[in-house]
Amino acid sequence: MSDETILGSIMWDVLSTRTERTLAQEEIKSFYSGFQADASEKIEEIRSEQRRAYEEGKNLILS
Amino acid sequence: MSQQTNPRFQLFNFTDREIAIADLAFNMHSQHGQLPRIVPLQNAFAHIASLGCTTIVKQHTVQDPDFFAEYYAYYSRTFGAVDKHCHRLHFFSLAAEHNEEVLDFIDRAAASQSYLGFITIRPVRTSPMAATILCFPPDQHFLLSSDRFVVHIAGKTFSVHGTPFMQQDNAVGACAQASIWMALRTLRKREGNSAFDPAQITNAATRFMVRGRTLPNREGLSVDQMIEAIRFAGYSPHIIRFGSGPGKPLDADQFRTAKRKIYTYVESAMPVVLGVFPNANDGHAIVLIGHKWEANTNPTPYLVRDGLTLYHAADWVTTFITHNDNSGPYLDLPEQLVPGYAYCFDQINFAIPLLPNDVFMSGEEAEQVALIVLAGLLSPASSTGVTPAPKIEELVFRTYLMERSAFREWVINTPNMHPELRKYYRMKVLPKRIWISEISLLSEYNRANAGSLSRVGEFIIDPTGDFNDAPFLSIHLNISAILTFPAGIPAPFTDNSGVIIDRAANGSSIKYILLNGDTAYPPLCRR
Repeated sequence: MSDETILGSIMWDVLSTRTERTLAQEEIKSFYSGFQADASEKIEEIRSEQRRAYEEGKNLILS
Repeated sequence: MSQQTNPRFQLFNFTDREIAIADLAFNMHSQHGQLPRIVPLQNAFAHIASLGCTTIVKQHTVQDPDFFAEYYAYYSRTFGAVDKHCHRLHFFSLAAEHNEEVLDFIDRAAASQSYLGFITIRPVRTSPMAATILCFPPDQHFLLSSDRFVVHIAGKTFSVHGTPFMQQDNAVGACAQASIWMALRTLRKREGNSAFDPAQITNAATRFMVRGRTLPNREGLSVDQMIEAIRFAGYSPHIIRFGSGPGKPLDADQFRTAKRKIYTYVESAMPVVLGVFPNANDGHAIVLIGHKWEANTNPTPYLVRDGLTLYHAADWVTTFITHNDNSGPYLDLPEQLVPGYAYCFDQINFAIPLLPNDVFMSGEEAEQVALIVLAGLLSPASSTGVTPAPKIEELVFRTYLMERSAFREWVINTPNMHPELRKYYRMKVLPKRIWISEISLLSEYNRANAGSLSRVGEFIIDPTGDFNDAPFLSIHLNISAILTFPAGIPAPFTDNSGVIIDRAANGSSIKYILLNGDTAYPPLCRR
């Protein structure tokens, strides 16, 4: 099962079998590693925008 | 304009706003020097007229705390005499009777719900409009950064629901201070933080970095000085930048991005201080306080991935509403420059939302958490053995911050919510505030304003969490409403199936709860 879709695959299984369940620790780890792989580019984009905002803001005057 | 005399209060019929400005709105001895900047007053009186004002009570010798602070910081030290008192104009929709005594009118008005707010007039000719709170427009706008303020007049109590406004007093502050003042004053009661006067804002902004004279402060503040003042007042110093640089209009993509990012904060009822740059060297600060909303039959996709097409709720916003200290209160911010407006949305270069300092995750981060997890949740729909694959309905995504208590109140009062889901949200342990990413069906969203049952899920995200940990607390998806199975293909699960995914706050446990007979319900609508 691929990491980034593990929550969706289990959701599909839960709905199909009508069986509620709690994720095993391995599945939780798999979800977090999948999320982090998917999110790393976005995190870097947000942080680099933030750094640029602070840097450029030093020279902008509002009057 | 008729009037009756009284030592402290005078009663006027409001018939013509230009006459009212000329007769009532000046409060200084000297008539020389710079011409008064009366555009904010003109627009404020136009607003008052649109509210149906018929009567003005003029209050003399007002000890206005904000002007007192300006007076002691600056005017008390000038050689020329400046009065330390203001006067204040109170507005009413109730008509005064012929020859009615002003106190009789005030007593009658107190029982009539006719109070429309007030304007404080400084004894400063160039910038007369001091602390002002006027009722917001009565039409269907979403003026979310507002509060109810109590006002006492001659022993009677009135209240006004609106957003505080002030024209900059160029001696002690510029647009930056005025905008921060408006934002802080709006949040004072709700957040319980400091609401500095303009002189205190200048002091807070220039504690660690001075770029010139602080008194008079005619040169304004830099962005880092502004965020220092905001931080000192108890808010998170979060800045969002847009575009290619000051003075360069936003292109279409930058415009959409800016609108979507700012919308999240405006929808969270946070005032957002905006820096607009008509040209590279001419920055001006204004405050966004709300937005207008209209049905949109041609939104632009926000995310297209693995069969999922998402739209952003900001595409339904037609105009943001601003307080602009040099133009007036409750003014539209047009998307592009149009005659009669000095500023527009595509001139914006940065935004400072007044994010509470116990919120560690920004709106941009919270939205990305929900987007990434949602895409992962729905992508297996195309690979589960059902052939042809089910269609994922087009969805609208909307993220905002909400207090836990307000969320639970909304849960209790929202019609058509599944009883198990209602119970779950009332019982779930939540932090004081939560980011919510609401998911609605595009096909129903144009009627969202009228309470259509378009909402088919939401993400609840911990605003104190770390982006890297995907800190959602709850996910609800009404899967049967989101997926459509091809005709003749039996769905692998029963109709009206929904699911709650419950995550422990520390992430150690993730549990799936089934909702049989799940339902759609209306999106949050707060005015």
